[in-house]
This record gives sequence, C-alpha cells and structure tokens, in this order.
Amino acid sequence: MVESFRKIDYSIRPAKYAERLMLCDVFRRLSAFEPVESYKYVGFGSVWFSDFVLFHRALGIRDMLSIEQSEAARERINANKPFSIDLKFGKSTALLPDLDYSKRQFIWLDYDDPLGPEMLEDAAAVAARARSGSVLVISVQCVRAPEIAIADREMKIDPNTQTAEQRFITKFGSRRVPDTLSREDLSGWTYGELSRNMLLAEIDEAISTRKLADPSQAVFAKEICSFEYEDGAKMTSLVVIFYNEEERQKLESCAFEQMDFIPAGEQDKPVYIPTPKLTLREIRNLEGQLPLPPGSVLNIGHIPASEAKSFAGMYRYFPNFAVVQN
Amino acid sequence: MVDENASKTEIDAEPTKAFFIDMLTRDIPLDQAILDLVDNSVDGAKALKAKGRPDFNGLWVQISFDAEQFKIVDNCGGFDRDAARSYAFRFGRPGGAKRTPHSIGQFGVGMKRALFKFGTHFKVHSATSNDSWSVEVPVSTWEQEKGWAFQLRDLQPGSLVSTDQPGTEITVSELREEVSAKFALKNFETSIFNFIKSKHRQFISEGLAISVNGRHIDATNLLLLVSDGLRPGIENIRFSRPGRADVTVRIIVAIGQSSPKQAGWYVVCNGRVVLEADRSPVTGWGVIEDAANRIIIPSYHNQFARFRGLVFFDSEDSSRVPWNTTKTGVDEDSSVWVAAMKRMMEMMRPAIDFLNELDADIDEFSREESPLSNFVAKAELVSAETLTVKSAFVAPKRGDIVKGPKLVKIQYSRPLDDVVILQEALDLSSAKAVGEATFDAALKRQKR
Repeated sequence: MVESFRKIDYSIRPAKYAERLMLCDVFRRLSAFEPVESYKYVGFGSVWFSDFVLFHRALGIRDMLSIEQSEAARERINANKPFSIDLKFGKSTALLPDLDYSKRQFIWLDYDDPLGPEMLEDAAAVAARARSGSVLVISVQCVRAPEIAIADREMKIDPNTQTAEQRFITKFGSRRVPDTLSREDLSGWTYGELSRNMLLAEIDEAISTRKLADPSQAVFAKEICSFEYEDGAKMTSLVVIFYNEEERQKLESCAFEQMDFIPAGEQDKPVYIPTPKLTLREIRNLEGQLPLPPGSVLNIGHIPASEAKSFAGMYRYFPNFAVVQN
Repeated sequence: MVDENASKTEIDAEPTKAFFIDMLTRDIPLDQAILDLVDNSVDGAKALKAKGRPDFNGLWVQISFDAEQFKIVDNCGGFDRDAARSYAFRFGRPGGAKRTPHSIGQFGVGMKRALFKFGTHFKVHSATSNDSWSVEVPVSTWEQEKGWAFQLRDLQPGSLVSTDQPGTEITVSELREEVSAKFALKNFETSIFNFIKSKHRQFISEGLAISVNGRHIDATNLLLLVSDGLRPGIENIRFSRPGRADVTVRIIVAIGQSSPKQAGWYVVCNGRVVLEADRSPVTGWGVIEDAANRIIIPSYHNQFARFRGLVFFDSEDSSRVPWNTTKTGVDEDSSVWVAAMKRMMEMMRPAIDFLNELDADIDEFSREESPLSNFVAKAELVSAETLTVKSAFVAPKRGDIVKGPKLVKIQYSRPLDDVVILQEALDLSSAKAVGEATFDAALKRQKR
C-alpha cells in the first residue's frame, strides 16, 4: 500500500479545505458541552497536519493526538509535526480502543480508502466508549467499491464467478449489507450513501450493546450532518455526536441545524461541497457582494450561473489559492 | 384431606413458572425464535397444501418488529380450538396429538418459547374457516397464578384474521430489554431477512410470500455447475422401518461458484434448512479413520471453495428426520443421519479429489491459463432442486484436457516506488499486472 500523502498534496484540495472549515464550525458549537479548547482532537495527521493546524489556530485546541499508520515514514512525519502533537504509530483499529475516553473528544477518521470492515470496527470502537459531547467524523472514498474491479476481472476468467455484490456481502457479512444491494449502490454517491448508512448501523449496534452492558453509560448518537465532495476522487463524510440523557439540553443548545453550510430544510441531505472553477478576479467580484442583503440579486457578470451559485452558497469556506513562484 | 406423612416424605418438584420460562427461553437465540414462528406458519401452509392446494401461491407471512413490539400475521389457515388446547399452547406435544404431514414444527415448543423469549405480554388470534379464538397473556400476572392454564376466548374484535380470512396473528409487547434493543437495529432486521431467506428458501421458491418489516423476501436458489463433462453426484435413498413413516433422502455433491462462504454441506429437513455451508466434522470434514490413522476427508481449506453438498431429508413423520430440537443442526445420533452420513462421505471423495486436481492445475498454469479451471468456467449454473435423477459425480482429470504450451511461473521483487511508477504509467491495477505487462512488452520487441 502506498501512503496516500505520496499521491495527494493535501494542502491544495479546495473541497477538503472547505470541509475542514465546516468541521471547525461544528467543533466551535460544542462549547455548549464545555469550552472547546479543553476538547481533545484526534486525527490522522499524515505529513500535512492541515486539520491540526486549523483546529489549533482557530479553536485553541491544545490536546492533540495523531494516529499514524505509516511506521516507515516515522522520521518524516515527526519532522513535519507543526506543534506539540502526540503521535501514535499503528493501525487505528489497534489504537482507538485505548484512547482516553474520560475526555470529550473530536475524532476525525479521515481515511483515503473506500469503506472496509476495519473502518466499521473503528466506528464501533469509538461509539462503544465515547463520552457524551464527543464528535466522531468518518471520511471515506466512494468512487467505486473495489469488488467491482475484482468481479469484472474474474468474470473474464470465469463467467460464473461471484458478482461484485456477492463479494461485497462476503467482505462485510450479510447482516451489515442491505438485502436490496445492487451494483449501482457500489459506485458514486449511492456508494457514499451506502457507506454512511453502514457506518450508522454499526454505531447504533455499538451504542445498543453499550447500553445493555451498563445503562448508566448509555449514550445516543445523532448525525449532525454529512458531506459529499470531490477534489478528484469522490469522498463522503459522516459527522456524528454522542450525548447522554442528562446532556440532551446541551446538544440542543449547539443548534447544529443553524450552521451556515446546511441549507434550510435540507438537514437530512448530505452537504455537497462543490469545487467552483473561478478566477481570482471573479472571486473578488462575487465576494464584494456577499453576504447578499435580503431581497437583492447577485450580479454574476460573465460567470456561469451554476458556478456563481455554488460559490455564493459556501464562499466563506473556500480557500483562495495562488501559485507562488520565485 | 392432606396426608401429613406423605407431605413429609414427598418432595414437590413442580417447576416454578419463572424458572421454567427462563430455562425454555435461554436455550434459543433470538433469531431462531423468530424462525420458529415462521415454521408454524409454514406448517399451516403445508396443511393447506395437503388438503389439495397445488402450491403455496397466495399464502403469505408478514413479520414486523421494532423496539416496542413484535408481530407475525399469516393467512395460512390458522388452527382451531382443539389444536390450540391439545398442543399449540401445551409445553411439549402430547404423544397422540395429530400432526401436519411433513411438518417442521414438531417439537411443540417453538411458539411458546418465542413468545416468552420476546416479551411479557402476548396476544394470539387464530381463525380457521369454521372456528376462531383469542388468547391474551400478561406474563407477570400469569406467573403469579396457580396452574398452567391460558384462557381461550372468542376471537377479539380488531384482529386481522377471521373465519373469512383464516390465519394466525401473534403480537408480543412489553418486550424484554435486550430483545427491544435488538429489534430496533437495522443490522438485526437485515440479518433476520437473510436468515429467513436462506432457511425457508424452499417454501419461498414454492410461492410462500414472506415479508420482514414490509420488505418482501425474494427466492434464492442453490446453484451448481453442470456441463458435458461435469456432473453432480446424485443419490436417492429410502429408509424404512416397520410401523413408522419412511424417510427419503436425496444427496447431491457438486461443484459451484468459488465462494469460501458458501462452500460446504447444506442439510435440509422437510424443506427447512438446518445446516448451511457446514464445513465442520459434523458433515465429515477432517474426519480421520481412527484405527488406520488415515484421513478420509480432509479439513476444509479454501481450495474446496467450490464444494457444494446438499442432503434433503423428507418424512411424513417429522420426528424421523435428523434435526435437533432448535433446528440449528443435526441429531448426530439419529440412525437416519448416521446411515446417510456414510453415503455423503463416500460421495464427497471424488469431488474433493477433483478440487485437489483443480488446485494443482491452477498452481502450475495460473488461474487464467489452467485448462481444468477454464473447463469449469464453461459450465452452467443450474438450480439444485432440478437435479433428481441418480447419477455418479463426473469431472475430468488433469491429463484429459489438452494443454496449451508448457508454462512457467515467474516471481520477483522490485522497489515499491518503481512498481508504482509503472503501475500508474500503464494504468494497471496490481503489481502482478505490471509484471505481466512489462514482460509482454519486452517479449514483443525481442520475439521474431
């Protein structure tokens, strides 16, 4: 397996950048539970640590842990660590059960790969232990399930080979996969939806077991929002908060539904983060008019309407990139 | 008058109801308990068929559950007060009770066990074409009462069954905590759906419509590969014993899709699947002949991922087919099982030998090039139910199929970074493909 940071330059993925800022908004609202600077942030820093930099600078998060799968890149990762961040080397599946769950945490499992059984395990491991007020974000790639390529390849050798759907069910176990599964569910945004639903079902199962084992430890899980974006590869993220009965009021005070990037009346739909292709001049022109006063219309000039609209909806979150040459 | 002496010498061993219920419900997993209720509906459908229906078309079973309640409704004929009194609510079926021929709910515990397992309040309504009744049991009150009676009443208004719409409706509420938690889970719903789909496969394919939380279950078939030179082994046996109903047994041994999760033996009793893809010593895997220390059948290994064995037991008298009381496996001591098992193992041998040959052939030639593997790939998938006529297992041997040119396997290592460069440049999906593509490219330049 090639480390993903060797394929992707994380610093210039505009939709990912926007997602980070949106998560920052989510994070900020957790102050209803306790001051956010006393939360712990857990992520996969890789060599970029972009999320760590943002959460530290914008929110003042001090207690940070990065889980690093690539033992081979230990030196390089250490050299790129921007602040005093704890590093733990190993697989998330092995490390997640041993986090300090007495603290409230903001955990972002930002995988580059498509959903796998070990990611469901990770989600369950956090759900089984997370303290009320903790947030779990899981991002997975959703271009197409690897089983499609395997089945297509095998089909050439053996026409009676198992279909992609059968292979997918075999991989995850039949109880985890909806019985209505079709090949369309295994690629694109429908695959993203399937991935999120499988993660949610796994989380529900884990908190149900947790409640039965010790009712005093019972928590609920609520989906705050989900994202879809593509900086190249289609990605989806699921954002879930855990809370207990005593802190239900605090959850309501967070008023997540009022967040800027969630269109009114579309709380149940994933937030699609577009990647508008605009020149710096066009961006400046649009930004000069935003936020739009009620009743007025955006003057878009020669910008394609769809590009302008998607930009206006989320402009606060988009980065302004410029290539610096010397 | 109480005999003072007797009361000192007699021990009252009558079980308390609470203890009895606990014992009864502990032995069965929740999903099996749901299947038990479906089994009762299936028996209803079988009884209607025995009275002249051609198949199960038009008959249905609807199951629904959530955190609050469980409900199962069917239109499979229902049962009358006599049946309710004499066995449906009795713990254990009295010896003389009449049976549905070829029934699958023969132990007389399924329904009660499921009801007590789920919750502490249940209602049963049932109607045949000329009788109808209801029973409602608040378990906590019933536990305190003396005696083991349930009150049989006239059919209560509002029930979904009637003499015009004969069938049975069962509702359990005040669910047990752990049951309620499971019933609320999406994953549990999916597992029940799949469970019924596989365990009641035969009845569904005969037209019985079963739904779980509003979703209809489609029929599935066990598919086997058949071609000119590849034929399943099929055997029909009849076990007779004076004074008792015969047991007919059909054994099929075949090759199927390569799928480690589907490989193994399937044991079906009166149409109900009791073992699925079994790869344990129960069905002969890894059996060693003690005295000779000779392995008769090897333990399961992935090279047997194409093995499919099916054995169907059928008898009018359901106590004759070799299943255990929870229908989760076989009764290994049953004489019918012991005799059938001997034949199963004999029939398994040639299929295992063939799969070993296939494995060796793939090892030598690779999956793409193996003549034997290509031969298997040309076979067609056929539903197991269509195979009824006795025949021996037929498969080619390695030498039987004309080989292409002699092949040799190349294996080597290169730095990952370099392999990635080529993999991306050539748009390939694996390191193996990189090796093959670069070899082919070099050969193309050199070969004259």
